[in-house]
Amino acid sequence: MSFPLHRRRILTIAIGAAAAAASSAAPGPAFAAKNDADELIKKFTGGKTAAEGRVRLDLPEIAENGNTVPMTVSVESPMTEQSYVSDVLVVAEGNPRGGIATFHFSPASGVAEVNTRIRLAETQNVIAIAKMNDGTVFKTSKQVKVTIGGCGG
Amino acid sequence: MVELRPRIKLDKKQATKGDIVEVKALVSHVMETGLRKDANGNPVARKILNKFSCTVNGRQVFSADFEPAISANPYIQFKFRAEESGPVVLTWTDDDGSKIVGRESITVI
Repeated sequence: MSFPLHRRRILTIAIGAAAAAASSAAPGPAFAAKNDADELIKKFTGGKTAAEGRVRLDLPEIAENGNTVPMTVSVESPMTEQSYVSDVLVVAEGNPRGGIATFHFSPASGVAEVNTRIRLAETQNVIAIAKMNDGTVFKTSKQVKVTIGGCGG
Repeated sequence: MVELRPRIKLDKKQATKGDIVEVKALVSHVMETGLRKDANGNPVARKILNKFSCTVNGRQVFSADFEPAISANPYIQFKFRAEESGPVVLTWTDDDGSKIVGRESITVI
């Protein structure tokens, strides 16, 4: 029962991505998020382009249960008053809604690192964006293959 | 439904000033996404813990905004730099405004 739906979904995503790529004015990523993940990122970065690096996203390659996927986000930073991570946004491109969490740090955090468990509806990219106190932004992304989707119901 | 007190564990109860202390916390909560439907096909209303914060001796050291994509019975693990002795207070805020609070303490020498 799940197979035909899976194939149909892939086709829908492929057609959707092709349509989005064809119609978008500015060059975008190869696979456009199918939810509001891109808007959330834009709002968080203020439109700034995030450089790759400094952020690390630890997620399993294959998540057995999409209801609870362990995730660690960490950002290289001295975490001093002069240079620290202020916020980290994590979004998922393939969930019904893009937002996962926003973490707020300060020099008092000591280390910009957080571990939690998240829900992923299906195989998709998870993106973490870190904002520094000087306004610079860094990003990284990881694809997680999900065997049993975690959207409940 | 009875809500259990949050389980909090600090990797050290006593630290030297400047040490990094790791906190692990687990709280019972359904984290209802609002996307599920019940047996009759009616949508189950969203109800999540949408904010988390940790203060040490009154000073905030870490906080987070949660979306429904955070798993049920949310687990969080984070760190803070030991500066002063005092209560370590963890607060989770529900969509409905109610709060779940857990307390530990740290001694900084």
